[in-house]
Amino acid sequence: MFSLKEIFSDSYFYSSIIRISTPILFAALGALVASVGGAPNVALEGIMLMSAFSGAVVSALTQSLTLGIIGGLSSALILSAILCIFSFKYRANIILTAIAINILSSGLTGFLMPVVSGQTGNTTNLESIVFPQIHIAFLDHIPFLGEILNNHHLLTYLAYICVFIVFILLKKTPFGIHLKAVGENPEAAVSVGLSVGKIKTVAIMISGLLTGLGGMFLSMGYISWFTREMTGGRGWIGLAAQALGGKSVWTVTASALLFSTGESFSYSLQIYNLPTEWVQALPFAITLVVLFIYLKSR
Amino acid sequence: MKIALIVILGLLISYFLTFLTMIPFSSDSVVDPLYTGFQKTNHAFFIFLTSPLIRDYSGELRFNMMSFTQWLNEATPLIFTGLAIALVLKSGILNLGAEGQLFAGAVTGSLLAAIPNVNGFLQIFVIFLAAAITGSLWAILPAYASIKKKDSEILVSLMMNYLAFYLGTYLIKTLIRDQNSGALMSDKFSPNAVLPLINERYRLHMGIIVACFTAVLFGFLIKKTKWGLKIKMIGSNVRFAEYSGIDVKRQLFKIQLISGAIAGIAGIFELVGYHQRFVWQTSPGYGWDGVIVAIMASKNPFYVPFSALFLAYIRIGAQNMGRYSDVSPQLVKIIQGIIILFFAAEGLFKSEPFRAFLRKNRGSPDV
Repeated sequence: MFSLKEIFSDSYFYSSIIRISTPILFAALGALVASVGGAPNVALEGIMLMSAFSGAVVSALTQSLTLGIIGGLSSALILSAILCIFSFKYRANIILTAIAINILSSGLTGFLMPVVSGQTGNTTNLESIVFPQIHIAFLDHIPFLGEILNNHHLLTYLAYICVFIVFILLKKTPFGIHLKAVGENPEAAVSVGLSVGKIKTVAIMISGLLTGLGGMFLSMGYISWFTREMTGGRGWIGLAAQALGGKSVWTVTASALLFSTGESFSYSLQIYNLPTEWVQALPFAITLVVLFIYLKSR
Repeated sequence: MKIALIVILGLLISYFLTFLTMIPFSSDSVVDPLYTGFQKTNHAFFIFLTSPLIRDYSGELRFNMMSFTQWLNEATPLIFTGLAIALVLKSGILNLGAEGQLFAGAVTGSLLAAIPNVNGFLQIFVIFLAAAITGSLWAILPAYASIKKKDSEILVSLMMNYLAFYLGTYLIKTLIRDQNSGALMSDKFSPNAVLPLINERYRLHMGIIVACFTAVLFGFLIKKTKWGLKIKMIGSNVRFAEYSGIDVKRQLFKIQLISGAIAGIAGIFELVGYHQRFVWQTSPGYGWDGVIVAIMASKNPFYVPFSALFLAYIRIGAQNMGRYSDVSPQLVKIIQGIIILFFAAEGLFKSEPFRAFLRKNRGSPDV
């Protein structure tokens, strides 16, 4: 029988929110860094997909986690670099370029997958190396909360550490202050001698790295293989979470958690065979409302 | 000139990529691996580039009616979404909401098409009208956002896409789901709501004709009317348009609603014309493809059908290539990505080395 109480009193529900939030949070932080610099990074979905693929494949071919990470992150950097070169150097519309990158990476992963694994749908026959799961001993003694916070993947903890890193980067470093200046008033930034293109490029690169980590969580976390289109829109959801959270790290993190709560809740509903669409649609509707409150207030 | 160069570049890169992946690793055969690679790649590319037209019947080349039909059917939604996006691009806005508008329109149309025992002509008319209106409604919020703050429409339209997908799927599931089918699809539409096919055997629907007609119609509207002139002026210089007394905000709002209506009917032909039921379990993606179609047509409605036909051609070709060779049909997406990337890079074609290259080879600096 369906009971909300049962869902909400289960620590597994909350634990799964944290698990699900990992790639979304990485993407949202990536979107945040780019957006503070005034350069929307719509290529998150493609970057995530590409690094999920190359991380899984490189780690499987070399049987080394480190090389897998390097592979995954460098593919994210390459795509980010393409985005920067085309949109800043060759003055392409950054949104169009990002759309091109999304299509390109969907094509490249789909094209190369049968080449490296001989399968067209996934790479299950390759033995990818996964990130370790972390067991924190002292959390065992804390009931409920301990169960929620313990035994997650390295990348999940890293995502939450990145929240603080991004906070420090944006608020406490000269780069963060320059980035904000570039995003808010590029003309003024130029007049005080900042190189707008360079600063935006660095921001997009950082954004790509963060999103790349999110991608690797998908193929080198609980699952040790790559599936076609395995990101399933998480890059876009990260972008939406950033739109909802605005320019603050904390609200962006909170909205990433909101989106993952929606997803986790919809999984719980699926067990009871209830329609999940409205739960999945809710975070987007909330984002829409918030966007409009913001637009109205201008 | 520019378009030909970019397409050739895309094909060359993908050919090279395919060649690299087709070289056999194990060298136990006496044949040169490079030769095998070339042969396999050429075989795949032959199918890729010719199969929508001709087919090899054990050595004898014949017209490929099956793929030709698929080609025209595939081009239909692309013409509509390409046109929808070309119109707003013309006025300087990038519409990412076509996907949601298409989905929302298709859902409304499908719900109406499932109603039995209505006069056929009336039902089809209402289906198309309702789909167009739904598409328009779906464009209202992004349109409002776009005139309130530039570029905010991108995020708003993204949210609208998700809402269209989730709410649409919910409605189909709860109202007209085919309970006997394991996969999520709707009941078969009422026979009155189904459009007649042009070719019964290969199932060619009439969408391509209506789509081309719509594109030509809007081409004339843009080219010949005062309204078209206004749109072009807004697109080329907003300030100038304002000074000449055009109500820019009103026009921008209007064009986005029109674009929404066109996107709204983009998917209808495929459903009431071909499948005769709602079959999409994921959003079909034609809205995104519309972006490629629109920029390849350089925002000109007259060129949209050609650009959509080109895209559909390489897609059907790739599909056949995937079936009859070892090369993945996903290759076509790589070509699409390259095409958008280089089309968007306006600066690249104005850069000095490129112009010098053109001068040397063609004697004309303008691209």
